[in-house]
Amino acid sequence: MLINTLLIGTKTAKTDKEYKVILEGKIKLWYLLGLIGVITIIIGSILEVGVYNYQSSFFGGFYIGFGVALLLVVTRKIVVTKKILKSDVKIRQTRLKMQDERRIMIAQKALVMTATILIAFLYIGMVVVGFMANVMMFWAIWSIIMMFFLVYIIVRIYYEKKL
Amino acid sequence: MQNRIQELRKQNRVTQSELADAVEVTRQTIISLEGGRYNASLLLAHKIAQYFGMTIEEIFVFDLEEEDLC
Repeated sequence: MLINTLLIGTKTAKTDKEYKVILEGKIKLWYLLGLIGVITIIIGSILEVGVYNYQSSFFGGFYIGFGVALLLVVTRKIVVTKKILKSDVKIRQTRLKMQDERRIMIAQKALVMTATILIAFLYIGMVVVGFMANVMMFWAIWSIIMMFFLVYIIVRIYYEKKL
Repeated sequence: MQNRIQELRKQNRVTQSELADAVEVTRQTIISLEGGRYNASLLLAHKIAQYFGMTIEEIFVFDLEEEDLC
């Protein structure tokens, strides 16, 4: 549900036919994510083979693992979605389940709560890093917090105009 | 906001699944509506009212005090 909300947002279909088009579009997005997985594995392999710094192997292993996990998730999602597309009954069931207004509201509320908690933890992290005198880490956390608020303002302006 | 969904559903001998399917939501949403934990959107309220052949006001009881509007 979270990935669906992040990928499709609140795009809704009034009929099963419309939802079928959304599902077909969704498969393209899964393929795109799969491509990102493959690229991540390639980057991981490059890091693993060549020694660029003393932690190359660690990052290489991490990226390969992440890429493989992403590929597995994407493969499962593609198989499930294609299975749904074969049956009109399943298309309707999935449409009702995924577009249920209560479920959408829960997902949106959960995302807002998660973002709030994340920012609170990042702020605490930024303060703690001050005690360690780790300037690089401080700027990294500060950048994420500022980026969050910048994106929030832009998205808010977008919706102020749209709605 | 209170509602008469459970009462009307039982009167009409309709199951939660049948109502959910007719108004295009999940059964869990009907359960939450009947339990008063979730307020229906205007669209869903309209669909439910249409299903029972009644007006929205006849099914959903808008409490001015509860909504802090009095």
